[in-house]
Amino acid sequence: MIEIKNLYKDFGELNVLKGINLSIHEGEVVSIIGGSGSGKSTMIRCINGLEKITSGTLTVDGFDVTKPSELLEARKKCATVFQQFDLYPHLNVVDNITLAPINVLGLSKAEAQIKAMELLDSMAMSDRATFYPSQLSGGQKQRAGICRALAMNPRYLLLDEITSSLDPEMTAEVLEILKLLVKRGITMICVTHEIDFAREISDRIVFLDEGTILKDMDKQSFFNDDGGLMEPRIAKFLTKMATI
Amino acid sequence: MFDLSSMMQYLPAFLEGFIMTAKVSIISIGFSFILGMIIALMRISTHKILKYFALAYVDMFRNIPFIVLIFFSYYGLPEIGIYIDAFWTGVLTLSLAVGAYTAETLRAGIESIDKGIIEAAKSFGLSPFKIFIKIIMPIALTVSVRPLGSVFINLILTTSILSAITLNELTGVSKVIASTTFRPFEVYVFLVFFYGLLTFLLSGLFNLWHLRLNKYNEAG
Repeated sequence: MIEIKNLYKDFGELNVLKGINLSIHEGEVVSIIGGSGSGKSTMIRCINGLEKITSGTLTVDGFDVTKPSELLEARKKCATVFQQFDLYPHLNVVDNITLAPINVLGLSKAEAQIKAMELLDSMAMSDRATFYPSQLSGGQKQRAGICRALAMNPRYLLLDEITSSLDPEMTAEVLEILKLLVKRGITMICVTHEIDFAREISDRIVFLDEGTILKDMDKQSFFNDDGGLMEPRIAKFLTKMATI
Repeated sequence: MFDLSSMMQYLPAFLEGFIMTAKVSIISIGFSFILGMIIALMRISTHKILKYFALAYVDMFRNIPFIVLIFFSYYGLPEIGIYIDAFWTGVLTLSLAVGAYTAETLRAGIESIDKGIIEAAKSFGLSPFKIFIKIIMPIALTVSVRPLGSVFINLILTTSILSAITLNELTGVSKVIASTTFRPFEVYVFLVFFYGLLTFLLSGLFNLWHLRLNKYNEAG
């Protein structure tokens, strides 16, 4: 379980997260939505330890990410897929995928490669195994990014607006893959602008507004007129997103 | 009359000087590369003391003429009880001085790396050391490898100054041969050839390294 209690995150004078309380259980698919600057990405970055939290607690399966001695264990359980892909440009696809399993999980090179090829195969990417990131399309890069995350056998998959840099066709291609992962029962925390997609795959929707959780509801209630839509801020946001 | 054949009997002496120059160069390149990596890392660290120490280091060594440094180390230090022979004085002083240039060259490469790539590696739990060796250095070097080649060629050329502290490297040997034979023209033709050979070899190596490191860029 990922447990966030009374989390505050400031960047100097700027208070980005103001008292977040959130628990995410294994097997859940949680979508985090909200306007730009609402703190969605910062929250993901707090979970994987890329941002130091200002106050509050954040544990991943009991491991406290604020303690340097426990951060590594927490990070082994979470794997992130990034908006800008952030693949290692000097390594080919397979080496991108196997770097962390070999150096962090201690897998042998052969084991890691077999696993990587299985993952690539499952995403129709095996013919791109020896390509460098610069030779891939956006959608392929993101599929490689997903493989890189899954190769860590994570308990939690953190997705940080992973389709925002993709055109609609490639977005569809990546979302198809996520649907498959949902079917496999992997826990996902998904920061997204794809409202329709969030509605389709999520168990729960968390709506962030100016650094606080405005609503944290199961999907059915969130999209109901007497649920999330009761909240004017959310109704406005959803209408705006629908017109884009 | 210009007569290169008169130099043949001095060939073994030239070769000895050549080997000495090559030895000093290779060891100094190794040391200054390691030192440069450490200083570059300190320079970009968020730790204030490390950062300013590195900055002061780079500024100091880039602003003192090398001949002054070498005189200081060879003739100055013994006065306070530090004796090092000419060879190691040369190697250490060169490494310290060139380390400053190496650090700046590497820093430029490191700073060109997209921060997101390093964060991705961090988020997967890679240790800072592994990130440095497996991600930062290979990417930084793709940018820095050519300027680094120039820095090290300069190092080879600078070894000629070590003749001033009695080291019998190429230039030192040549001066002796020139004053024995009274044939400075022929002697310095040889000298030019030997320096050319060394720097040509080094720049060839760096070109190969550049191609290897940039494989992924050309692939796109």
